[in-house]
Amino acid sequence: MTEHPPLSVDKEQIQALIYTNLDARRYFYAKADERWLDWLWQNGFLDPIKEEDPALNGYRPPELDYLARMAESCPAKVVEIMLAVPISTDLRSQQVAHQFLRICRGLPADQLACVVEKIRDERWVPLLAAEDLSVSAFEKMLKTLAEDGDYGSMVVLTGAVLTVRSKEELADKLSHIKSPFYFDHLMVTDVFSRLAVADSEHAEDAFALATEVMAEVVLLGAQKDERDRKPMSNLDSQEQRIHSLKAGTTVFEVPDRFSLLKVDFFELEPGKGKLPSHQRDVRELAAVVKVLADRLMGEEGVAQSSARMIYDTYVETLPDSSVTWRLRLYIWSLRPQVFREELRSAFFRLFEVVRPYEIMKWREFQKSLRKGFPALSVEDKRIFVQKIIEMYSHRSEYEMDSGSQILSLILPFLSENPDLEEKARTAGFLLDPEYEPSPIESDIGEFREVIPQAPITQQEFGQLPISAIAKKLRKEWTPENLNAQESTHNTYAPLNASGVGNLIKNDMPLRLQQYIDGAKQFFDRALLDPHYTYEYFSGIEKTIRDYGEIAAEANWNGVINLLEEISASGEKAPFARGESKFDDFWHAGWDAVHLVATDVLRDLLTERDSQALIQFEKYREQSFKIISYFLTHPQPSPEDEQDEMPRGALDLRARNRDPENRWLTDPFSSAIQTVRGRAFETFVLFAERDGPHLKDDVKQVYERLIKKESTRALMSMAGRFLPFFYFRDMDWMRKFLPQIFSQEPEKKYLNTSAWEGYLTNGLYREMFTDPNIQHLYWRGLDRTDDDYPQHQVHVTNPDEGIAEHLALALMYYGEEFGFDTPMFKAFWERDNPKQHAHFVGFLGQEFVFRSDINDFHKNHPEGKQRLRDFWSWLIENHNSPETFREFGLWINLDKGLFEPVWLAQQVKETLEKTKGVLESENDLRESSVRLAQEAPEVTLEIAWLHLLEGGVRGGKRKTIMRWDLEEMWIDAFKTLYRNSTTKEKTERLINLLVLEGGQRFWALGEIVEDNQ
Amino acid sequence: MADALFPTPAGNTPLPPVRLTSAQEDLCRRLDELYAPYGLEVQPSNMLRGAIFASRTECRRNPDWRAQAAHSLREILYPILRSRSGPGRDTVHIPDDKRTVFERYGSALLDQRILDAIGNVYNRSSNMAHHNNLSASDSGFEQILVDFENFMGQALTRQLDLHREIDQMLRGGPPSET
Repeated sequence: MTEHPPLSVDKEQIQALIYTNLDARRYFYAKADERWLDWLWQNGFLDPIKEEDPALNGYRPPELDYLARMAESCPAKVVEIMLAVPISTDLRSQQVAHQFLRICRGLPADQLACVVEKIRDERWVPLLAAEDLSVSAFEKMLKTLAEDGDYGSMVVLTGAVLTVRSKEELADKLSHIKSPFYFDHLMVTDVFSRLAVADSEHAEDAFALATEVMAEVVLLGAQKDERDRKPMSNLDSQEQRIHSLKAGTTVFEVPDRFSLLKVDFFELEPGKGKLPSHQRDVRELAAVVKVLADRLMGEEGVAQSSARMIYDTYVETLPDSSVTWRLRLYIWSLRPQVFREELRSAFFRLFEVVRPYEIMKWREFQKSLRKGFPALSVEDKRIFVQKIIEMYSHRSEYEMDSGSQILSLILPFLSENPDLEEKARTAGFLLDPEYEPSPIESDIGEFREVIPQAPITQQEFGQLPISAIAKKLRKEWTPENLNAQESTHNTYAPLNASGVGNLIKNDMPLRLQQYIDGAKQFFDRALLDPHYTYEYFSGIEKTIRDYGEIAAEANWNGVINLLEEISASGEKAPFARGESKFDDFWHAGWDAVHLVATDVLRDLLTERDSQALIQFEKYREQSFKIISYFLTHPQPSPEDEQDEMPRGALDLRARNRDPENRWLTDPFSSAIQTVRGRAFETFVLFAERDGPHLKDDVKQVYERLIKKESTRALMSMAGRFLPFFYFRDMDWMRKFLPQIFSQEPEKKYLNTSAWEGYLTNGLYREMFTDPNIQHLYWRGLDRTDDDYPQHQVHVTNPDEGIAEHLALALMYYGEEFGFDTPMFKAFWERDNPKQHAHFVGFLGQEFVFRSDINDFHKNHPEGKQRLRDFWSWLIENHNSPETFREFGLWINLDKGLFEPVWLAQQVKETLEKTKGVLESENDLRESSVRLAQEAPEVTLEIAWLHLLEGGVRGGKRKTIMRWDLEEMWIDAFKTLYRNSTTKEKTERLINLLVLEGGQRFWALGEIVEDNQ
Repeated sequence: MADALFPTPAGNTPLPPVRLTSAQEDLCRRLDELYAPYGLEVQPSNMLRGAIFASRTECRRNPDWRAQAAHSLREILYPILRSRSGPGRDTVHIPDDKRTVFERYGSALLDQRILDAIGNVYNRSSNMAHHNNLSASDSGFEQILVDFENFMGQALTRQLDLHREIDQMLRGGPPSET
């Protein structure tokens, strides 16, 4: 590379050169070193950081990147510049603040200290909090300051981090913001723990900040009429209820937005919560306040006057809410002598409110009473006791309990005053010297597994005969009885029928035959809850699945008989349908029983290692009867499918994906969640076991089902399993096809569901060439989105499905489906870009890209030529860019399908159709070097089209961002530049890419430089 | 070159090839690249060399040298500056307008000012070549040549040239330190 001598230039020349175009400006600032920093700043070249520059069109000023780069070598100068740049709220400020934050993250402590006030005062946190990365920058900065021992700056920076949102922001219903702070992951900054350990010199500053933030957080709830607002959470709702009980009395001026119900200030410690959440952040803030209060007011040696001054300055001024009141109670009890008057007032407040329980229930009240009561005057103490006795005497047991608790807390005083103690005991209060306020349950916000419980152990259960179990299920273990037996409800370990069901399932493999022989005892419509029939079948299914060897040895007669009995019972009188009657666990109804029963029958019929669990011939008639019954089950119904709001948790989750909130599951997935759908699968299995030809009774059931069927779910299954029945009786099926693919207008959706189901299959030559089936394809070609229910999800998109079938036909059955066949022509003549694009993409995926594709080409040597012919045919006969963009996967030189020179020409012509754009670019990139070697001139055209026209000029960001992955294109350019026939034009292209594409293409400039 | 020590050679001594400055050589290369996509039969670099050759001192005894040298310069610009619908269109085979020609080349500095200046050079060289300017002087041609080199040089500056220039400038340090 030739290095030209340095240029000596003046300011105007520099300006002219830098501002030639944006790339030149970027290049200059990307290359300039620290020698230039001061000069550039002094001469106004860095002013675009301070003011909006329209020439940048919203892009970040390159000057800013330069500044960030210089921060490591010249931090003091960079800080000086940063301090001179104002930050407001516009786009420029956001870009600048973002980059400044990056700079600050790496600054040494002494320089960082110069910037912290700017960060706080200019409110960088609200400006940047939306970017997840900024939170880690603050974490790093706090760490830098803490390690340097600069607690003063650390407190200032903490103040920035703890900027509190406005009430208006939190009221925005669209934002779903719940946290009072701007960062969602505040805990990772360690902001609270760092504040708590501020050195003694700055402890008061830290306390001032923490209480100020707490005041702001409390005031977020300040609005008198807010009690009528919609509660934000269960806790909030509970708090509102408390307030509503105090009708006519305003206990606290400010309602709490964050009520900290699970906090006891006496026990509160920082860093104890488990899951990060905004509630935990508020809790941690309260913990910091407490810790600093301990240090500033509670520690030994702190003068009374000092404690009083700190309290009056920072605590007394807090808004009046239940949380701050509880905090105050804690602080007062740190120094009862200092805060005697405050404590007296707090204790006597009990007699001023309508519902004193709302005060005395707080642990802080009770604990401060115990600790602070001795500080009261004897007279006040006596009055307090007498008032308590008066207030709670002759009240309900519940209220008497409250009185007993209060008096137990001050029992030492009563012991010293026997008259009062006697009076209290006479009034019926129980004085307990061991009484302690109840501890806080800390399960809020934690996820735990719910483990259903049973009334006896697994071992005890295993000792019971099957008949005894069946008897207990009918009487003492009914779901209702179990529910009633549970004296105190335990959310995570409830006693219920699921717990008993687990006993059955765990016990079953140990004595399977007994369970099978006693099967009928697990079905009794009158006396046995269906949940237990369900648990029985679930146990059978699980045992078959997990204990195959045990299952293989069993005689399944009992289960078959049970299934037959259920069928007979259902035919006689339909089973009830409906939802669970218990709130705390999933309770199976008869639909669930039928669903699992079909699974059991399928498992019994399924061959494993050429052996099924039941002998088919022996049980054919019984099985057939059972399946026939299951195929008449009412689930699914057309009503299930008409509902635009699907039911169930999974459906709800899926619906959330739909921006219009209207969503339908695909018919096939629906079907396999229903009784009739699973019965149909079992029916197919049955027919398979029944031999190579369909028997008349099977055909009759099939015909009856289809004629009566009115759900899309089952019709999609009919389509899906069509080949299965077709190949067992072609003539019969041909005649029956019009029933499955009905042309009656009212059955339009049933027809299209069957078609969609059919398209989920691979392609069979016999079917594809059958004129009756061909007719279906012709109809399929004419379908549009209007032929399907709006917003339906497809298991196989019909456009894609038909494209795949025809693509398969082209590759496998080219004799029947060549370029001149009417259907091939019709497919390509129709204006359906989705189908066309998928056709090409599918061929690329299945016959070029797939790793195992050599097997296909070995067995179908004509396949390679067919791919080539098709590509050429399409270039000649088709023009839609959308279609040609799918050729990305075809650009492959590794599989030996295409010769490089031929491929290069095809790619070039393809890119001419797409204006350089490909959906998948990886294969072109990977082939670029070889193409450049084998077909340099055409490859240069390809690069021109793809990188310049499609990527840079076409604005295809993916191309620009990824073109140089693994430097393949760069190597291709080197090859082209070294080649004398392409050198000149390559340089031209490089210049254009650098000029128009900018920094992403600078690496190409080095090729030219290196070769000059 | 005459030297008394040498005998007089038989036949005419041809003039040696013209020696171009490195800037002129670079411009020749760029002119050829500019027109390369269009496959012109005559290389523009030869025309520029010809113009410079025709204007060298030894040739100025040719009374029509100015018109001939100016004609060479004019011919370089003709394919892009002549009316695209006018006569000769089929012989030069440049379907693009002048701006597109430069853009395809990758010109980084091109703007209307430069295009106008090139147009002005073209008009002046045409006048001189067609003997429209009877008072044409030696310095008149030399000014046309200077302007040609200057404005075509700008028009044919590409982005990597700017990078190169910036690199040079940065190596020199800021003005106050030089």
